[in-house]
Amino acid sequence: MHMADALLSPTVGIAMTAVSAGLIGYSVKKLKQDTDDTSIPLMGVMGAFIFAAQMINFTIPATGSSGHIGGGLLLAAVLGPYAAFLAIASVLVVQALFFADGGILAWGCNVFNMGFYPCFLAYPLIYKFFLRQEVSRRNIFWGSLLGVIIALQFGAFSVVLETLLSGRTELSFAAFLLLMQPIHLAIGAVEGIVTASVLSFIQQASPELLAGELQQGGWPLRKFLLSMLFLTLFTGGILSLYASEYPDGLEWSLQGLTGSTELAAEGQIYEQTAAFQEKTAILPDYNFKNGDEAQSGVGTSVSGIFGGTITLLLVGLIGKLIAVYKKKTVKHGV
Amino acid sequence: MNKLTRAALQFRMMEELADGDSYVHHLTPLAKLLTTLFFVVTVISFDLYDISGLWQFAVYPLFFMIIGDIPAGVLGAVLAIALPLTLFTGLSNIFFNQHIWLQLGPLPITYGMLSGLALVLKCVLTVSAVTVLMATTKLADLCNTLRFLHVPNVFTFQLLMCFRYIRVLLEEAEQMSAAYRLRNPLGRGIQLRYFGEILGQLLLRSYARAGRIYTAMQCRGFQGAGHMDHIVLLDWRSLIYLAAVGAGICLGRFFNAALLIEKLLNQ
Repeated sequence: MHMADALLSPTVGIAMTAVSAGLIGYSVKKLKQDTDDTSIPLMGVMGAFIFAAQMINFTIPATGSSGHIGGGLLLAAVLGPYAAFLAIASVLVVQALFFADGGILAWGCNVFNMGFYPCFLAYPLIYKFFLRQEVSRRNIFWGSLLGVIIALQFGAFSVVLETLLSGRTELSFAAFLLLMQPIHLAIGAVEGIVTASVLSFIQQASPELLAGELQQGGWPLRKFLLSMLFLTLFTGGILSLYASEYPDGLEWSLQGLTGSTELAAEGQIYEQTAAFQEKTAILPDYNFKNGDEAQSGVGTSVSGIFGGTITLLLVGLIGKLIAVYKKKTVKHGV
Repeated sequence: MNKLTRAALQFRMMEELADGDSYVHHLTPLAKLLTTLFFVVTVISFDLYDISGLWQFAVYPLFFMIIGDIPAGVLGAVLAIALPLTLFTGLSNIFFNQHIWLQLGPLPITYGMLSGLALVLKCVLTVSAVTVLMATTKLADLCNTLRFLHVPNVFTFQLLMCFRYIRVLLEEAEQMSAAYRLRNPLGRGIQLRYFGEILGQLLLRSYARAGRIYTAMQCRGFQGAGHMDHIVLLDWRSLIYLAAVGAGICLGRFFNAALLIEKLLNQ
């Protein structure tokens, strides 16, 4: 996933370098507050470990190919997010300068794509959330698997965005996305399993290594929910602008069979429910009622945010109801 | 030769080259860093289809490779790592844009071909410039310069530690990898079910090594990453170099030598 300089425009390269430099400054500040000088050699040596670990290949079962670990989440689990972010940034400097694996101006993009997501998104929101109650093999497995997959998906998506914003490729947004996301889903799944197996080994051999970092500031449910809300708003408000106008899988199949993306239903009951739905729908077809062309972008964003928030609230409500029901059944000894 | 040995060799080769004694080696790291960044930004600022303006930029890496006694093989080794992804993207451009720009007899030259070639050219030029920088500058000197430019000490210090210990850990990883290969000579890599254990062992060894390093550093009076050696950021020689190379890059950006020669020939 290392981006080369040739794929970027100066504006995107410089902007992303500024963002990553800001994140490095923030991480250094947080480290100075929380730890002493012990962490400096630790960061350096663990960065070197990640570099060496990336050179060791494992066989991917049933494919005949091999892959290597990325290591962002693994490092965050051992060092914490700030030290891990700095270590990854250093490894990327060495890779860019000595191996041309990622460009010198693309360094900011690479640090963001491969460091920010595992350290500041996947680690606190997913990995730590799974391990909040117990550091067990099962929790490590799910935390690592989901954490790595989500970090890689976001990273791959950022590569697509940065390349397209730079305007250096003829690939369309949809084609590039279709190339990047599925392959990184597969890579993420394998890397997640590998990360889980390494962390499980460490948990057995030297559990204090993982426990030490996890004890530093838990991740309360409220923070997790707030982060999910932010992600929902981001996905609904910005990413929905890029939603495809083409039919989805089901609509496409229907179009092939009937020539239309919707099934025509005849009968009084269908007409009445359709009229009721038309009247009550707040944002019909993901747009404003009577919305024109110019408003469609805003309408899609508002629909995304509105729909996402409602879904999140509904899921929260269902979760709460289940929790209340569980409490009651335990109380009554059922 | 496997990846681990190749990487260790690459490090040794670059470090030996950076120890050289040419005119370029004696320039200050800041001057070389600034010109490299300026060169990279200028090269990537060219339009998607602008190839003619890019060729002339090959003068910069070629000139400094000759003056700096950098063997072409070094650049070849680095390009072998950097090129494949760009080559793939460049090739995909050929398929995604088949609008014809020029018909050369039976052979059509498409816009996709132009943009693909421009990508590859940019990659070769930028990688060459960074290789020239690192083959003539020690990372320790570069980090010292960065510290004077207010890059946090914690970051530069641990970057140096990381660089120093990569070779040590590469050797350790190679030993573990070789031990596995000897037990499983037909395998392409380490089997997934053993990978966690092997990598976990390497991680624990690295962690323990970091502890020993910190103790040794404290025994030698380490008091945090605040100490800075005195360095010269820019001397007169570097200033001249900076002005000359900067002017050359600007000229290359605003004047297309190929077009000028064509005009002259037509006149």
